[in-house]
Amino acid sequence: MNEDLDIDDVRAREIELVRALSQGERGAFDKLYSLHHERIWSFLLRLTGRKDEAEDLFQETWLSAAKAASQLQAESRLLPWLFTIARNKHRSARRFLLFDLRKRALQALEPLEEAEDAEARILGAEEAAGLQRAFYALPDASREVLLLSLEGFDAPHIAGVLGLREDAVRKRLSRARTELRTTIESQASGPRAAPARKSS
Amino acid sequence: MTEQEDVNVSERSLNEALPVTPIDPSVRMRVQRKARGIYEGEKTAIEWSWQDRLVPITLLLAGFMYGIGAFERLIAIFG
Repeated sequence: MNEDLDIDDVRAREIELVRALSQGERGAFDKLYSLHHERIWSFLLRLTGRKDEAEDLFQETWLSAAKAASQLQAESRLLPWLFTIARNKHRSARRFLLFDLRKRALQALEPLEEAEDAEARILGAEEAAGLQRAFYALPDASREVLLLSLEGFDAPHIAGVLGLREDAVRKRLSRARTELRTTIESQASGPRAAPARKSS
Repeated sequence: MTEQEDVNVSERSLNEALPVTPIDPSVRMRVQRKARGIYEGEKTAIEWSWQDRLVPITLLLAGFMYGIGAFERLIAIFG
């Protein structure tokens, strides 16, 4: 019962923030930023695996959000909206990367950031590093859907962010999990190779 | 272990394996300031002072005068 009230309260506050943003009220954007910047940052950092790239996309995401805030509809959900912008920025950057030979060369040379935090140590550095390599070897489409699922989005919300149907999301998620498992298994059985980053 | 439990375990492991370092505070603040500026309709166009305008206008005027031969006539008159 209390939980229901809390959910209603959170939704009511979100509706109020959407209204304030769409009317361009001062302070509303700062509120949105303080509420959600950490999750957008973690999504982009995990999606790209690179701090410099994530910083660029983080900036582009928030600048686009600032431009589009006045077009928010009363029924808009803020977090999926921000994730959609972030995901589209990443997609668009990947497309341009095809033409940017210098950046591509740098990406091939620079190693991915290794898991060094306490959680990774608990899990076992070896296992964490293997999992991380397998994750970054997946195509972009699989990484996106896995990360959105990790972020706690359910299939309808993921569908909204990715612009897909719910059943397509479920299929893609299932395929991504299988790909991840297969990659981990092939890493475990074969010699350790440098991760080859794919783009879908 | 059921398939759902298996999925939960592997997602938890993945969650732990993917590091999230906090955003650099200077980047966080810079992005917030820029985005707030756009949201609040801050002018992003370059604002020109009269001194800034003076140089291109002078160059254009000089080019025009040279084009119509004004300098040659002035030299013929006063030179």
